[in-house]
Amino acid sequence: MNELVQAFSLMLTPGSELSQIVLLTLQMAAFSTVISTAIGVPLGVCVGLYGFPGKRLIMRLLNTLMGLPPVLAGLVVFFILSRSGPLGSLRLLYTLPAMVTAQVVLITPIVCGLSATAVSNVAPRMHETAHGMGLSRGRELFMLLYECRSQLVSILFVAFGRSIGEVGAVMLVGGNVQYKTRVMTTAIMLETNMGHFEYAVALGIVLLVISFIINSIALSLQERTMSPETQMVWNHSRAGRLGGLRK
Amino acid sequence: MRPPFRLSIEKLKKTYAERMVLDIDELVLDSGHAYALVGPNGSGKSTLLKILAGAIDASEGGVVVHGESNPEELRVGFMPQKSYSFGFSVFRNVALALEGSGLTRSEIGERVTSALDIVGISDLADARGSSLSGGEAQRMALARILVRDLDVALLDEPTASMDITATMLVEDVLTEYREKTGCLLLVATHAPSQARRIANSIVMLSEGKVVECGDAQDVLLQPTSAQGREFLSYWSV
Ligand SMILES: Nc1ncnc2c1ncn2[C@@H]1O[C@H](COP(=O)(O)OP(=O)(O)OP(=O)(O)O)[C@@H](O)[C@H]1O
Ligand SMILES: [Mg+2]
Repeated sequence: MNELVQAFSLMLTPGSELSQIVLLTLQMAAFSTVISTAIGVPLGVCVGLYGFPGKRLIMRLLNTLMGLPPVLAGLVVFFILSRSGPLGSLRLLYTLPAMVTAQVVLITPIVCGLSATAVSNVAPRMHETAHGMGLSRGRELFMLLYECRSQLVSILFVAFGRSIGEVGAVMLVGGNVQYKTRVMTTAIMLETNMGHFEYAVALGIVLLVISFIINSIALSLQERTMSPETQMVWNHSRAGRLGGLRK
Repeated sequence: MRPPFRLSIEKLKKTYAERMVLDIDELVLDSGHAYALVGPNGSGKSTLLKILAGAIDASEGGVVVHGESNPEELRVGFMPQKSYSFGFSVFRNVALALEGSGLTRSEIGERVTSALDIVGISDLADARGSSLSGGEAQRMALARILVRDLDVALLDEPTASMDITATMLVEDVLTEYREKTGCLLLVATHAPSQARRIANSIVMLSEGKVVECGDAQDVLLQPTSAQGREFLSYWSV
């Protein structure tokens, strides 16, 4: 127990190795989230909005990539960035950019697929009405994104959650280098392997707390933007049963 | 009011996955007139309205506008069979239809207020659009038509979810609106009484084809086609 407290106090000390790890983790997750949503959301909106030849193939590809094993994404990025790889001259292997790249490869398809689904659920229902009201194409798109905003916000947080909890890919391309590419998940693995359970547990708790905070923000944002009837559906989800019964 | 114009639908075809759902050789619609679009389920009424509104594209053929040098300028409004209600207030839901109309804020406010009053939902102005009942949502959708000065108003079963009082009211409102704006009114409906009350002419579709077209009384009393006779035999006019 004492060791756990010690681990925590170490983590909260500015400049300590542990605090540096937490900071790096947040940095990595933030970059990965921003880049993958910047690419994935517009792409997903286009895929969800427009019918074009090859759309089915793209959707299938996206779904496959959504389930891409992280180690595989890591491997691909590793090869590309390794000395003999096409981008080897950039010397990016075992750096933060390399980790972010692997994460972007991993998360963008997820963001893309989720935004495509979100948009395609609303767009067809909205199109006739928006068009019939005389709204311009651009305005219609804006209204569509506005109506999907709570899903889009939650997609952002899904991306962040994926990113912060990722191990395999990050380990591979980051290499878990002390003070450089060691993030919380890889640190937990290392500490556990070395038998420093209290550090591992302390790091795990911090990871949980961060996740909890992120999720709370996401939920409260959603509640604020969710329509009352959706909330009602959430409260009463006893499908297939008679409602309003009294004893 | 705009000088009279005429829409002439020529060789219009719409196919979905090889299935022909609309196949109109010729159909002429004049401004200032009210047309009731009738026909059994799946006969292509909504499809025709959507094509005229430009919400979907025809597979072949199209609409030619006569008597109007710049057809792009015709203001066309369309109320779909299932309108979408945005998550914000009813007031904003309706005001959205006046965006880009060049009206000032206060003019928009006045128009929206009066339209909501006409359709009888002014007490719901601040309610969330997406929380309206089926009939209320339809009233709101109609208000989106009424706030605008349209040249062509296309309404897809505008009173399908409305109670009888609202239905009667809307029929009067539509007639008034057409007289005021001089617009071309095309209303899909399943109610014989409605067809008679609001329309001068009736267009009947059956399996995507126009089987009857003409003066409302004539069509109702003396349908010329077999499909028309069969369909109208259930209509006790
Ligand atoms: N997006 C679509 N894809 C495939 N088929 C469609 C599509 N939209 C309509 N159809 C088909 O086209 C036919 C005409 O449909 P439409 O909605 O125009 O009928 P309607 O006359 O409006 O019927 P109702 O009285 O039920 O409203 C129907 O058989 C329908 O199944
Ligand atoms: Mg229809």
